[in-house]
Amino acid sequence: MNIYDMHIHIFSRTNCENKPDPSGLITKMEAGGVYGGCLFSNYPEPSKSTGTCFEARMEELMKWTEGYKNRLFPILWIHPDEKNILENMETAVKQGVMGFKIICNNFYVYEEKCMELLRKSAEMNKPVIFHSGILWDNQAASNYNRPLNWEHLLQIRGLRFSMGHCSWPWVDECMALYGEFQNSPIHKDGAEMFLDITPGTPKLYRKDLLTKLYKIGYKTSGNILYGTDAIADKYDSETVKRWRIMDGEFLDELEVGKEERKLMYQDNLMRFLGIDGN
Amino acid sequence: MKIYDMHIHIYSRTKFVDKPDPHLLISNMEDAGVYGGCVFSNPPKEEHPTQGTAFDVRLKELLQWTEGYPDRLFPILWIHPDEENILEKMEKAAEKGVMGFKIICNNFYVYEEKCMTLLRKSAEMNKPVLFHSGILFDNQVASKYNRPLFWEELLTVKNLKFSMGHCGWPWTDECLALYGEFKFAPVLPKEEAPEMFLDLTPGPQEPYRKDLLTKIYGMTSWKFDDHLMFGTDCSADHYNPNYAKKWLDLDGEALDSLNVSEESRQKIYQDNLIRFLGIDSSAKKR
Repeated sequence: MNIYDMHIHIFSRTNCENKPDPSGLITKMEAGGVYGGCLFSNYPEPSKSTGTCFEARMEELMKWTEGYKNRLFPILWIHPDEKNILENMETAVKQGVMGFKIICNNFYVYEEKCMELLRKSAEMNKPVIFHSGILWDNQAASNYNRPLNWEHLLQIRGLRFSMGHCSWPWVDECMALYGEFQNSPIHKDGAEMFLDITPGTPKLYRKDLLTKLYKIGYKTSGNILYGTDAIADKYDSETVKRWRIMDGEFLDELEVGKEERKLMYQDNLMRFLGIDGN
Repeated sequence: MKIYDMHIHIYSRTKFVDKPDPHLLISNMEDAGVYGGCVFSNPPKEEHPTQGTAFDVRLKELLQWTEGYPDRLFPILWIHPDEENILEKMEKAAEKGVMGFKIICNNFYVYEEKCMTLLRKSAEMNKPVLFHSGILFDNQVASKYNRPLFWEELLTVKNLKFSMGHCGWPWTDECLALYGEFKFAPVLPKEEAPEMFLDLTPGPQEPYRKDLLTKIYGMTSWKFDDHLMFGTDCSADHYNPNYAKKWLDLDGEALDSLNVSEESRQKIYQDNLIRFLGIDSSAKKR
């Protein structure tokens, strides 16, 4: 089994060495026992003053993933207020982008301008990786990120999307929403929801989260994704290892089998990204 | 260590006493081992058309309830943003010795401009605001105004000190997550950033209490210590020592099992409130 980290940020202009260095990143990931993962581009301009334009983001993202096609997967962070966003999404996919990252920082996911992007992603068979849950973003933006707002995505045919941090502190609401997606009559043709277990959840809540994920009685194991929220230019192998050891102990206690762990660390992400072709 | 109860209500015209009696209140508090605390005025008419009272009546009654015990009974005026000339009234109250303001969002959201104005005024006068948060048993449909997340907007209110009553129960996880945001992702520089305190007043009943304290003391890196305060929700005119003692004992057992130090307990029961009210002017922002 290869372990994939589906939640790694590039933040441009950090204090760290921010020149794209995919081989350096891979070395640090390997030290943390991680084989590969998803890299999110820098913020788009409409999200923050430190955001960058489409071309700059794309260039930096592709440099960060260059040379590791089957290990580092480029994910473009987009915002519905970007000019020509639908065309930009198409260009990004042509250049190798494998999915889109969206953080609802000043809009609701169900607003038409966002739904339009989601329909486009689905049409291109590219998944969308959302933040969900409280958003520590130096502004009052958490209200946009309550999981229930995502109920509107039930109707988007063919979309695959993930809910970052299992929406902490609204984990129960997130789980309930997952149940709704699984059991909805339109589920067969509608959107598929994945649960991104990136912390988020402080350590003290972790066991409770994993217990709920694996014992709730819904078919969850095929939709759980592992991530760290690490930053590309300072990927901290030790922290990554510590969390995985802790998760491992909880998974042992919960008697989560090898096959289910393989789904979480590897297979689900492949399916989410459309790599396995099934 | 002295124990302060930061959440005591005056409800005018009850059957228990017909006039303010601070000695009786202190005597009942002492029976529970409580030294002093914050006494909230009766609600304004704009909050409760039938039970509420006008500003002058409330203020007079409040000051009578705290008279003679300036270092033990701290007067807190309950206000509502729809009160006429409320900003002037707040100034007048502070001049008369009011040490903070109580607000319950019963028909408005905390982030509405009419409320934000009051909060900026409180901060400017260096007076804290004691909020209710969480479900509101108030004989009206008002809980929706009291979800902790709405207080996120206060990130921009310079130098405000405010407390979240009942730790936002049943939304305690949301309340703790919000605390993290105020602490770790402030909008303003630290010297101007607002400070959020957690008012442990039940609210969270027995089955939830240990869970709450376990989270608070289990998330050690969040350092909640400096922002926790003890309260009971007792009424001034029939302060129930047995009820106050019951919670002190229950919490004590929980704190023992969580190995909470004496120093931390002194903060919950005494030091944090003194800093919150601005009594200890040398205390630094945490």
